[in-house]
Amino acid sequence: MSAAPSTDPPQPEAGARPDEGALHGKRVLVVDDEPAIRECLAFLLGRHGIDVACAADGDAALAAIRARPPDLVILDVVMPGTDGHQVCRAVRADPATARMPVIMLSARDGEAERRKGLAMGADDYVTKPFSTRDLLRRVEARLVAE
Amino acid sequence: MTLSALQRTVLLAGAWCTAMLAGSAVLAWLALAPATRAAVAGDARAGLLALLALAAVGASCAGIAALLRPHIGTVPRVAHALDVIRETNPSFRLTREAPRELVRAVNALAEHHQYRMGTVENQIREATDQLADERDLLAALLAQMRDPVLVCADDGRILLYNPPARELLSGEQAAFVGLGRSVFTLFRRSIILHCLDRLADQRARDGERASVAAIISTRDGRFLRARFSPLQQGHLNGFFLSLAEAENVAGAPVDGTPTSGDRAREALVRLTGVRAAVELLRDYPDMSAAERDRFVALLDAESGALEAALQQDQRVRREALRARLPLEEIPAETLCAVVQRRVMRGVAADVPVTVAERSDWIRADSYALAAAVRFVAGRVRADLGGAGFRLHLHRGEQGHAALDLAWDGSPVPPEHWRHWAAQPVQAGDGALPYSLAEVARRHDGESWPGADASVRWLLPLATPPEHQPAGEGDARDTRPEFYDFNLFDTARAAGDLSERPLRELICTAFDTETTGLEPAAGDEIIALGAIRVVNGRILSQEVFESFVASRRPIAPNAQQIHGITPSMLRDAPAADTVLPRFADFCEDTVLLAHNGAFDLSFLSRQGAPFGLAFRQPVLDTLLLSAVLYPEREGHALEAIAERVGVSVVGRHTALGDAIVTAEIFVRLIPLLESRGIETLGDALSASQETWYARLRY
Repeated sequence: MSAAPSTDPPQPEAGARPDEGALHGKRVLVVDDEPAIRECLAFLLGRHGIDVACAADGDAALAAIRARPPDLVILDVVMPGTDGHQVCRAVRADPATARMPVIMLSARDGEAERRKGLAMGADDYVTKPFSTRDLLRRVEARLVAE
Repeated sequence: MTLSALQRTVLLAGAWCTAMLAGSAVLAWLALAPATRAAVAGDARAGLLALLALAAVGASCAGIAALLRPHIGTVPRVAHALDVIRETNPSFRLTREAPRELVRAVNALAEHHQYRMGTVENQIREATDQLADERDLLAALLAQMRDPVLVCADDGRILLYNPPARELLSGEQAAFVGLGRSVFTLFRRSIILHCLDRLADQRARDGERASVAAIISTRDGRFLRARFSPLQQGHLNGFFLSLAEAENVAGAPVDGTPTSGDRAREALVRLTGVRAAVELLRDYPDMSAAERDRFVALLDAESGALEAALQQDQRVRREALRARLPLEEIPAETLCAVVQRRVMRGVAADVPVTVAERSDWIRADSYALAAAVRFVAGRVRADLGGAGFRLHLHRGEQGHAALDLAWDGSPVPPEHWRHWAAQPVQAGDGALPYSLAEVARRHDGESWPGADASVRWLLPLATPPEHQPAGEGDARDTRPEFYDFNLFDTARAAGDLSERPLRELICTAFDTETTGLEPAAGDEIIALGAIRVVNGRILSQEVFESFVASRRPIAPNAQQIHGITPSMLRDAPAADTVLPRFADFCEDTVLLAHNGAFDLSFLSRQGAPFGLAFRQPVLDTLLLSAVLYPEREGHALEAIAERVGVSVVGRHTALGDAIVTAEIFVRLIPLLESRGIETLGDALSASQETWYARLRY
C-alpha cells in the first residue's frame, strides 16, 4: 500500500459559486473502496471550492491524515483491511486529529449501526445510498461550525 | 371330624346288621311259648348265650370295618391327589393309597397332564422370549435411528416414536410427543390430511411402495421435511412418518454463496453510485462534456453491476427455495383432484375439473398450490362475488402446464391482485408462511389474473416416471415383523370411550400445588405435575412439570405442606403459558387425580380466561378406593398407597403425587376388575354411586 494518498484526477474546472466562499480552500479527505463513489464525491465537493483528496482503504487514509490533517474526513465503514470504525478510533486517539470532524458512510442501516458509528467518534452518520445534496449540506454544516 | 360318604355307608350297614340281629332275637323271643320263655329266662346259660351273640355281632362288625379300612380312605385320597396334580404340582404321583389299577390309571393321567403342561409352558416361554427379543431389537433399532420417526394409526394416534423424534418435536413452545397422543396436536391438521389423501391416491396406483414427501410446519412454526409411507399389515392400519429438519424457508443462505446480507449490501453500494451520478448530472448541468461523458459511463457501469447483483440475489434465493422445498412429481389428474378437493372443502360445493392432457405429469408442491388456489377462490367469492368455480389444466408454453381457475363474474382488478398476492396464503387452519407470489416462484412459474374471469398458474411439466410394478411379494418380505403392539388394538377400538376397558385407557395422572385451599377466594395453582398412563403402563418419560407464577401470596399453612416458597416461583412462567401447555399435554386423555374435584376446580377456574375447559372424563383414586373399601374410613393418598403396596416418594410435589396416583390406579385396576368394574363407564358410575353414598353420610 502506498504511503501517499491516491488522488483521483477529476478536479473541477469551474470555480466556486460566490455564496460558497466559506467552503473555499477547505480540505476534505474522501475514504471509500468504491471508485465510483470517490469520483462522484470528488466532483461534488470540488464544484464547491473544496480541495479534495481521496483514499481507497483505511491504511492509506491514516497515512494521508497523519501526513497533513484535512479539515474533514468522509469515511466509508465497510472496507477491506482496516475498516472505517478502526480509522475513526485511530483519528480520535491521536491528539493532533482528535477534534477533526468525521462523517461516516455506510450501506448498513439501522439505529444500532448508527449508534455504533457515533460511539466510535463519528460526528455524523449517512446511510448509502445517500442524496448528494443532503451530504453536501452535512459537510457544509461541519466545516462552517469548525 | 367329618365322615366321608363311604364311612357313613359302612357305619349305616353295621348299624343295619345290628338292628336286624336284635330284631331277629326279639322275634324269636316272642315266638317262644310262655313256658319256654320262662324256662329260657330261668336258664342261667340264656344270658351268656345272648352276650355271646352280641359279642359275635360286634366282632364281625369290627372285622368288616378292618377289612374295609384301607378302601374307606381311597376316594378322598385320590380326589385330593388329582387336585394337587391339576392345580399345584403336576409331578405328584399316587403310590399305594388306592387299588393298583386305580393308581396306574391316575398316574398315567397325571403323566399325560404333566407332559401337556410342560409343552404349553415351554411354548409360552419361547413365544414370550421371542416377543421380548423382537421388542428389544425394535427398541434398539429405533433408538439407533438418527432420523426422527413416528408410527401412527390411521386415526392419527401415535403408536411409536423414537428419541430423535421426541427431541425434534418437543421444543420449548412445541406440543408434546407421546404414545397414544394425536399427531394432529403436533402438526397443522390440514397438511397431514392432505398428505394422507395423497398417500391413499398413490397406494391405489403403486401399492405398498407409495410414499409422499412434503414440507410440513409444526404448531410452533418450524418447518420439517416429512415422508409418509403406508403401514398395513393384517388388521394394523396406519402410516409411517419420517422427519427431518428443513431450515428456515424464508431465504437463509445456502452454503458457499454470499449471504443475503452481503448481496443486499452489494446492491446498495451499486445503487449509491447510480444515485450520486444521476444527482450530479441533474444538479450540475453546466459540467463539461468530458465530465458528462465520464458520469454517464459511470452510471452505465454501476447500473449494470446493480442489475447483475439483483439477478444473482434472485437466482440464489430461488435455488435456495428449490433446494429446500423439492417439488413432487405428480400426475396432472391427481394434482387437479387434490386442488379440487381443497377448493370444494373450503369455498364451493362443486368444482368441475377438465384436464386436457391426461398423461401429463407436473412438478408441484401440491399442498402449497392447492392452498393458493383455494385462497384465490375464497377472495374471488368474498371480494368480487364470483361463483361457479371450475378448474382447467392444459399445456402452456415452454415445458409448462397452465392451471386455470375460472368463475362466473368479473375479472380480478389489478389492485385487488396486488393486494392478494402480497398476503400470506390462508390455509383454512391458519396462514401459511408464504404469499401467492412466493408459491408461484417456488414452482419456477408465475400466476396472474386473466382478462376474463380467471387466474392462471404456470407449473413446470415433469417427465412421467417409468411404471414400476407394485411388487407385492418382496415388499412384504422386507418388512420387519414388529407390528404386534397392543396400542394398535387400542387405536382400532374406536367408539365410545366409556366402553373401553380400564387397562386400555390413556390417562393423564396429575396433581396441583396451590397457594391455599379456596379457589373461589382467589387461591391459585403454583405447581402442576402430570404423568401419562397408557394401557396400564406408566410412561415415566412422558411427564409434565412446571411451577406457575402466582399473583397471590402463598398461605403459610399451604407452604408448610408443599414447601414452595415465593423465591422458587420467581422465574416461573405464568398461568397463561403453563395451562395451555398442560391442556395440550392432557388433550384426548382421561384425567386421573386423587380427590380430583379439588384440582379440577382450580384448573377450570384458572383455565376459563384462556378458553380452556377440561371436559375429559375424570377418574378419582379417592372414589375408586371408596368403591373397593366402603367400610374403611381412610382414603388419603398415603393410606391407599400403603394398602395396595405403592411406596410413596416425593410426596407433596405435584409430579411426585401424580406418580403415586398413577401407580395406585394401575394397582387398583385388577381389584376393580374382580368386582366386575371393567370399563371406564363402570368405574365412573361406581364412583358416582359411592360419592352419593358418602354425601349422605
